Parts: sequence; C-alpha cells; structure tokens
Amino acid sequence: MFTIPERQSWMSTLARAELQQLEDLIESLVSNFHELPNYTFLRNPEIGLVMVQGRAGATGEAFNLGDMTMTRCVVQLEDMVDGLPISGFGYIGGRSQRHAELAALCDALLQTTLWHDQVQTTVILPIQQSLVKQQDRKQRQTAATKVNFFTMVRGEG
Amino acid sequence: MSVSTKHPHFNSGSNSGFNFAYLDEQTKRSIRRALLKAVAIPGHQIPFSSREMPMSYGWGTGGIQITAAIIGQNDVLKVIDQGADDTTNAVNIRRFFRKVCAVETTEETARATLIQTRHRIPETPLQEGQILVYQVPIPEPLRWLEPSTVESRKMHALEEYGPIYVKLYEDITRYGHIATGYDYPVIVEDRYLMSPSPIPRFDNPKMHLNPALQLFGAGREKRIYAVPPYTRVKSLDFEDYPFRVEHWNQPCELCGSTESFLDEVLIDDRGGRMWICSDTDYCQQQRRKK
Amino acid sequence: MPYVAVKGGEQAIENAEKLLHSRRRGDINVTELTSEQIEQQLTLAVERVMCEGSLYDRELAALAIKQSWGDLVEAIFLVRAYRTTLPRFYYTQPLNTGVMQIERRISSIFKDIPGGQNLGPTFDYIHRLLDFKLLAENQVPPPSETSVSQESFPLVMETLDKEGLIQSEPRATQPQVPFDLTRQPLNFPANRDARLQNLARADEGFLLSLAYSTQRGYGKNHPFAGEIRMGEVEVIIFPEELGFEISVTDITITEVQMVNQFKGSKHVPPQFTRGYGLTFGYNERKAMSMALVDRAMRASELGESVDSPAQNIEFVLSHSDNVEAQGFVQHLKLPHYIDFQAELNLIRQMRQKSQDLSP
Repeated sequence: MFTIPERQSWMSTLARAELQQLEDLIESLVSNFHELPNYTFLRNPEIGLVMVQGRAGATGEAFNLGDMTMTRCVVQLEDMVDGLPISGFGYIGGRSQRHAELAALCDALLQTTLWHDQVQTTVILPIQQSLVKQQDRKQRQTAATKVNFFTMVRGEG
Repeated sequence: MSVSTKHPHFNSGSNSGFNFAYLDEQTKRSIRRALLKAVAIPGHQIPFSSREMPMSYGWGTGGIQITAAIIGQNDVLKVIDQGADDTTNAVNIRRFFRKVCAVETTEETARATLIQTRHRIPETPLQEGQILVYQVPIPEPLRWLEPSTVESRKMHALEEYGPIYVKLYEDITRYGHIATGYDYPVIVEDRYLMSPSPIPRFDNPKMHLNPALQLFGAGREKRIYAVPPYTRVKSLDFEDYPFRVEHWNQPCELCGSTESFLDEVLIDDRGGRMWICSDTDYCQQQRRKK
Repeated sequence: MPYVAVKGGEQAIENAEKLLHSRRRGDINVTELTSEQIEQQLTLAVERVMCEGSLYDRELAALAIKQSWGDLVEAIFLVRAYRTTLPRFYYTQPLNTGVMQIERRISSIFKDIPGGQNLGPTFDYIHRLLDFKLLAENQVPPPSETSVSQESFPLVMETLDKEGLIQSEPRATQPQVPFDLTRQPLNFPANRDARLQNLARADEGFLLSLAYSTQRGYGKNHPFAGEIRMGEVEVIIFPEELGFEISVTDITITEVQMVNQFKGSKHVPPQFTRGYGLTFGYNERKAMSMALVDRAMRASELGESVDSPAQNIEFVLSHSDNVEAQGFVQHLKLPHYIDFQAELNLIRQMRQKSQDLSP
C-alpha cells in the first residue's frame, strides 16, 4: 500500500513541521473526518542526543562533529487494523515530547488504509507546501546576492 | 515554548531530578572500571573519560567524579580544602553532594567513610574501611621536566626516572637542600613515580602504609590513580640528603598542638600574625580534649 | 584570645549567587531580555555557543547566554554540562555537504564557478561604520529576491580532484567507527578524526590566532580558500528499531575547504594539499581557522618539518578547549595558602641559611 520511500518522506515532513501547525492540522483532521483512534505508548517520548558526523574534506573519513538534541517516541494504535497491530514512530530534532508523540501518531495513521489518504491531504500536503514556500523564498534571497560576471552564460529560465 | 527545568531522567534517589550522585550509572561503571585498574597498579595513571560537571575543570571535578562513582546512600561524606571544612570550595562541593544524593555529611574525620580533599591529608589517622579521595590538578609528576605526554609515558614504562633525581640534585647544589615544598614526588610500591597532589611535604609520610584506600582524580587531565591500603610510599631523596618535613617554632594559637601543620594568618598590617591548625576538625577535637 | 573559628562560607556563597542574579537582571525598569530575542537577534552568539558547546539546540544556547549575563565562554560551559546529562541515542550518517540549501557559497580559486559566487548574509563588504539608527527600534527593509536558476552547486574540490591535482581524502574501505572524544580521553598520536572533532569544538580565539600564525611564517603554507559554503543540510539517522533511514531535521553548518601547495617528494608527485573546517551554525571565521590549523597539523604526515606551535598536534589539541582552559586558569582563585605556606617556609629557610653563611 505504501513504499518505504513514501514512509521516509512523510516521516521527514512530520519531523519538520512547526508544532502549532501540526496541532492545528490534526484538529482539522478530527473535525472534518473522524475522531482519533486510541493509542498507547510503546516508548514514552524521550529526549536525548544524536551525534552528528561529518566527513574530512567533505568526502573522506567520517568524524564526530557534535551532538544535537532530539526526541523520539513509539505509539501503538489500540485497535488492530487489517488484522495487524500498527506502531507509529516519531523522531524529531529538538526537545519536544508533544511533537514526537504527534509525529508518531500520524506515522501510525498513515500506515492504515482508513486514514492514509486523509492524513496525506489534510496534514502532510499543507506542511510540505509551507516548507517548499519557505525554502523557495530563501533561495530567491540568496540568488539576489549572486555575483554576475558573465551576463550571457546563465540562461534564466 | 518553555524549557523544562526538570531533568528528563526521573530516578529514585533525590528529588532534584538527577540520578543519584548526578552521574548516570553507565558513567559510574566506567569510572569504577578505571578505579579497579588503578588499584591493581598502584601509582600508575589510568586514563578515563572525564565528563563535564557543573563545576569547572580545575575545581575538583576529578575528585567529584570519583566520589560520585563510589558514594552510596549509607556513606558519611567529609569534604575539605586546605584542611578546612569551611573554605568556600569545600562548602560548595559539599552543597553539591547534598543536592544530588542527600547523603549524610560530617566535619569529623573519624566519623567519615568517604573524605574528599584538596591539598591536605587529615591529621587524625585514618582507619581501615575509610576512603580518601584527592583532587589532583596535574597528575603527571614528570610534567615540569617533560611537557609531552608521549615522552613521559615512555619514561614511566621504562622506569626512566633519572631526570627527576637530577632536578632534586640541582636543588641541593643550588640551595643546600631539596627545594620542593608541596607535590613532592614519591615512588609507590618500589615501582611508579607518582604525584601525591599538592599536599605539603609534611603530609607525605601519612601516605605510607596507610590503612585507608587512597584514590586520586584529575578531571581536566582525565587521569585516575590509586594507592591501596598498606602500600609502601617513599618520598624521593638521597642517602646523604634524607627526606625531611617542616616544623614550626610555635604551637597552634587555638588548641596548643605542636604536631599539626599550621596556617599563618595575618592579623594586622604591621606584620602581626598568628599560627593555627590548618585541619579545622583536628583543632576542634584538640580543644575539646583540653 | 581575640579570634574564634566561625563558619561563614555557605551563607556567603548563597548571597553571592543572589547578587549575581540581581546584577544579571540589571535595572528592572528596563525590559527583560527574552531568550527568543537572543535566538533571533544575537544569532551568531547562539551559533558560537552551539559550536563550542558541541550541542546543536538554539533554544538551549540562547538560554545559556541569558543565564551567563552575556559571557559566551560561561554559556558554552553551561551547554556542555547540560549535554552530559542527556543520553545518546544514535550517531548520524555523515552529513552530505554536497547537497545543501545554499545560503552562502564562494570560492577564491576561480573567478566564477558552477552555481556562482553567492555572497549571502555576509559582513565581508559592509563598511564598518557604527549605525546609530540601531539605538532606536528600526524598520528593516525586506531583502531582495531574484528568480532562481536551476544550476546546482557542485563541490569545487571535485573539479580539482578530477585532474588529479589535489590530495585525495581517503575513505576507509569498511565503515569505520570514528574516535569519540566524549567517550574516550584523547591519546597521542591523535588521528585525523580525533583532531577534527577536537577542532570543531575548540575555542575560536585560540584557533584564529594559531591560523594567523601559520600565515605569518610559523609553518610555511600559502593557503587558498577553495570553497566556503554555508546553509542547511539534512541530518539522517538509521534507527535499528525502525529498520530504515530517516531524515530528522536540517541544521545550518559552515564548511571550508582550504587548498595549500606542496612541493612533492621522491614518491609523491606535486599536489595541492588540503585543510578542512566544519562547524555548527554560521561560524565562518572559526571554520576557516579550523581548516588552516587542520592543514598545519598534517605537517608530520606530509613529511614537513614540525617547528611551529600550530603544527604541534599535542600542543594544539591539549589547549584548544576553552571549558578546560578557563577552569584551570581560573582555579588559581581557589585557596592555595597551604602550598604558599610551604613556599614561604622554604624561602625563609633558604634566606636564613644564606644570611648565616655570609660574613
């Protein structure tokens, strides 16, 4: 029903959402679609570190650059879906137990046939759109600082 | 979004939100492994992975990490600096342990099971079962002769201690006697050259065949070493220039002792001074006896 | 007898702490600084604290700066100590800096490069004239924007590499576990992974001065800035419990590749040699210094004579950490009267002796 790359993509989006935005979108999901199912914690949200690694010369041997805070969480939907227990995993940068919980919940819902499309359109897509918009604006601002030596070579599309 | 003021780890132990004695159990275990190695090779420096503590490196973090790794709920802790319980850093370290493990503290040497010290050994003789934890700034006794740890490690491995004897000899030719007043180097169990930490030479003899376990922690330099109970500790000297300790021409102003290390305290700007025991507990006990 | 031993240390310490908090707050009629303001408007301070504190968390760094009354080395210490209390969950996949949301990217070795010279938010060409308009709150005009070309930003070093002109960066054939300073004490000789980790969290001032010294003849190296890039890169982890890779967030980093000349030896044809700098946040000066010092410390591996401080690996790595350095320098404030007493006794003894001996 979904591939690993698709799941990687939505988990990445959920991790990058603003917490308030995620709360609001889940609210609208509930009011427009369905009450959320009950779930329990397989792993309570916990805050810890991840050691970020770089590479010498960008391409050479790995080295430890420094730590970053992150929060992780695993939830399990109370009801089995399609005969299987569904666990959702949340991994986010920073220290927010609530964010990790909501990310895990959405990950679980997206794995079910009942919720997949709704969560995709109501939660994932709007977040992706705002992320793209932010990124786009930053790129345009950076582009304005580009030094143009040769006016012909760059074909502006 | 507000930052939680509570540590995310919730453990039994104190209600401050930290693990008992602040360090996590994994870290305590790794320090204890280093301590075991140290006890197995008296006087030899063992590298350990020193953690950043809430106090600065150089302010006793090595001693604090050792104490935190071995302290238990039933221990009675004494902390001294310059022999006194009431110097600001001793007070601060005691405060820290009260905060992170709610353990009983004392100023009486005889009642303590665990004593953390900076720059002095208590005057009251220690017993079997007691542990003395020393705070060490520079664990390498060869450092002033050889700044490179690569070289000094070789010297320890090959027992090449000639240069330090040469340095002592140079003192004798220049001053007529050995000019080291504190951190006087010793040989442990006839093998390793060790820094006793900056205790006055007066205290060196106390280390020899001491019934207590002596542990040494250097947090910033990341080294641990140990002198097990009843170990031979000999201060370096020459046959014709034997090791000697300091003495004073007056007794302690407060208790009358002529046996203890005395602090010189300035009392006016005309050179007036008085001499009192550096070991505050010892002084108090002496006064009680009178 | 006029003097009695009195206890006074604990009260004094508590009162000192209260006084510090009060001074830190300052005049209560002036609005209190929020850590959000620090995060937004003193971002470069926040990024330095994340870099040397070795912990990427903007909010924590901003809080530390507020709590430290603006003293960044104190803030770095706070962040390091806090880091110690958190459990380590994972190590990331090594960052792929070739795939970056570029905010700034320049190269000094070619006039123009694919993707172009993008200045970004740089101080480089600002005229250092105090702007008194900033004394009051100020309406800042929005930045300019232009359309984005579809060009990518390939690593400049790859271009040089293709010609075989530049020293390659060897990668282990099997995935190697890099040295971790937070888990093991540094031992000498130190390999490149340990050196880079140490430099990444080193004091900026120390590295800056050492780097400067290499340019002034203390270690003969003419460096060129091959590429400097700053922007966001993905942080990717592979949790075992999940079974696949996921991208968790983006972090801002600065990367500097320095290119240095090497004359070649009997066995190695002349090649450009390399120095590498990588920092959390927008810390360009630090990343450049790191690259210069990295190159200097490779002297012995390249068969160059080691005769300046920046080339001395043990010297550089033992003194680069400002948390250690400030601790030991400042520990001189602790009571040392016992040791001083010992010195006093000795010196009196020696002077007495020389008096006795003189006619």
